[in-house]
Amino acid sequence: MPKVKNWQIGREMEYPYEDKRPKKQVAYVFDTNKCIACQTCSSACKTTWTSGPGQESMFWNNTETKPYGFYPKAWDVKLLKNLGEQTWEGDTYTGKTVFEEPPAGERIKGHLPAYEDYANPNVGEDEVFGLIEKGAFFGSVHNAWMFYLTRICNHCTYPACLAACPRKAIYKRDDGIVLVDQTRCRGYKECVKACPYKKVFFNMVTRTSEKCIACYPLLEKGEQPRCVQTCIGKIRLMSWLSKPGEAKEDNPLDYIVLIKKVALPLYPQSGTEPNVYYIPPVHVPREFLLQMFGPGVDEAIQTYKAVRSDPKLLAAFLLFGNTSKIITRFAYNEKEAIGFNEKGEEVVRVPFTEPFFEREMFDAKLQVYRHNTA
Amino acid sequence: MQNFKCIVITLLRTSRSKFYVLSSMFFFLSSLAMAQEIRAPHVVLGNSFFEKLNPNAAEWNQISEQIIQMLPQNITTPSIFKTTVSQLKVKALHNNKWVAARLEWEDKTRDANVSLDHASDACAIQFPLKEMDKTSPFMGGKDFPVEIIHWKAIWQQDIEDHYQTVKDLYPNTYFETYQFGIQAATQVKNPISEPARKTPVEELVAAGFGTLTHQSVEDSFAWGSWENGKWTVVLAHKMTTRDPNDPVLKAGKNSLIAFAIWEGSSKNVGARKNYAPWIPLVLEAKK
Repeated sequence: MPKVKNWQIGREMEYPYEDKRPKKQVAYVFDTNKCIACQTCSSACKTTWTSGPGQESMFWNNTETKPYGFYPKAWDVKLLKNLGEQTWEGDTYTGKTVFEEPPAGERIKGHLPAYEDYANPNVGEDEVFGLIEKGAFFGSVHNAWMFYLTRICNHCTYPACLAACPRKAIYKRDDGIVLVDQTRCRGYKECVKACPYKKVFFNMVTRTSEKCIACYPLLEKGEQPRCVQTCIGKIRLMSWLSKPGEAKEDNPLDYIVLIKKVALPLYPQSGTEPNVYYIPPVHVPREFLLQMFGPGVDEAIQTYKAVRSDPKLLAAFLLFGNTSKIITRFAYNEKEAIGFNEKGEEVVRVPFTEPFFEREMFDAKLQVYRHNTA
Repeated sequence: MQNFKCIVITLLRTSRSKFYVLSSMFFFLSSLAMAQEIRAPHVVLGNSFFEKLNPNAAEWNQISEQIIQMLPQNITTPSIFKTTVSQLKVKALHNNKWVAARLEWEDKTRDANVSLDHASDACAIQFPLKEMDKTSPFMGGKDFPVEIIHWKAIWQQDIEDHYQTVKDLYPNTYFETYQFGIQAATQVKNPISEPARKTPVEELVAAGFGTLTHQSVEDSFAWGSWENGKWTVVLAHKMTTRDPNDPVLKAGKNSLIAFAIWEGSSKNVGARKNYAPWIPLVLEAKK
């Protein structure tokens, strides 16, 4: 089996196909600290792509509460169990990926969920980890924790779904988007079983597998996907990630992910090199985050907390959720962060500090007083 | 022997480990021990016999039966390691225009639905398109393609009853916004997603693993019947067609045939199947 370089696990690994990175890679940053699980992303995606027969319990985008939320049920618990012992030496993963030492007769270490596992996408919502003692009161630090993990297809550099398909019906485009060819798929469900993140779904009406298409019709027009555009918490940014070693200082995604390393891949130990990067939640126990986002967690949280004194990083963060256009280059001055599209046109300008307006209490035009009624 | 050599070479080329080669050779040799041939006598029959197939037609009573040991597909991944259907009973006949094979196997459950938890019962027969002794029984090879005639219980149910909906499997499903939905695979005319199916059979051509391709022109019929824990399926194919992707079968000239059976309740689908590699098919000349 060919060896490929996976920068997220700091080593080479086995993959059924040769190492061939796309010209550009669709990638996202999600700031878990800002997500409120309003599910606007899920609704936007669902009404756009998956409201047809056979897609009743299919959410290409879902938001689950960690640690007790799962969609489908127990997906990551089963992934971690399948992976076995997961050890890191520094930034190098020394455990096995889903591609290494699969069970006899299988291409990938995976599990096929049951149909019912998709029936409760909100299971565990808002449930906290930790006991609250009787009589306890809030003393500025929460004793129990939870956080929202919003998820889409990771458009992995080394997709397990693609590797598992015996028909080669799954392909990765030159922009990194991973698609199921709906003309070739024969519904074997090997991809559903293989995807570590359970983001390929089986449609029992079309009898084929379906997955997030990264809203490619929008991307091809230079616009960010629906889930990104509609996020009211402005937690998301989508752009093109450069190849490792070719990071550009003025590409906001490169800067956040590859240079400042403040956003981290989800379960990098899967080996698929997922391309949705999460800013870890700052309040969650480190053991949990290390398991979920790998060894860069401490550094990422430290950098995130220090963002007030890092205007360039702050400028990159301010680009989130302020334009529908894809920002491929950014700049900043003392007052503003500025985003440019692939053609070099300015598409957004966001002030570091929102302007403050003070209005007269009496509106002379309408002859009314402006005041809070409370 | 040429054929055997070819298969061993194919095994060595396609297998991922020596274990596969050795276990497959063992199974292959044990299947050779059965070394049967399937004789298809010439029977005077109208074409309607083949075009409106009845698995329980009286004409089959006079045809001798061959028992074929099935093998678990573990030549390539994904695999199974234990057969889910171990024996197949085969009868064959022809009328110089059509050849038909009648497959009978035990299956306690009739599986004619698909979902994550369900797979359809199915069977297939395969013919070499070019030199028989150079064609791998495992989906053919680059210059030596095969034709596959594939029947599925769900496809027959599509015709006999109706195209499967979610409510067939999950009656309490409630959904209110179907009006926005698109069915991509149906829209791009994926043959798997055909909502108005006319035949429970599909003709396919393959030239190696992962190359299985639907043929739009079909010269086949198939029909199955499940009774008392047993499937009986007849697959018929025109002996000669104008399609270069169809085998040319002539009375008095031997060919090869291979079989595959999928057992739905064991989640058999795709490469996870039971198979029998090439068996000589003797198309007897008119007496």
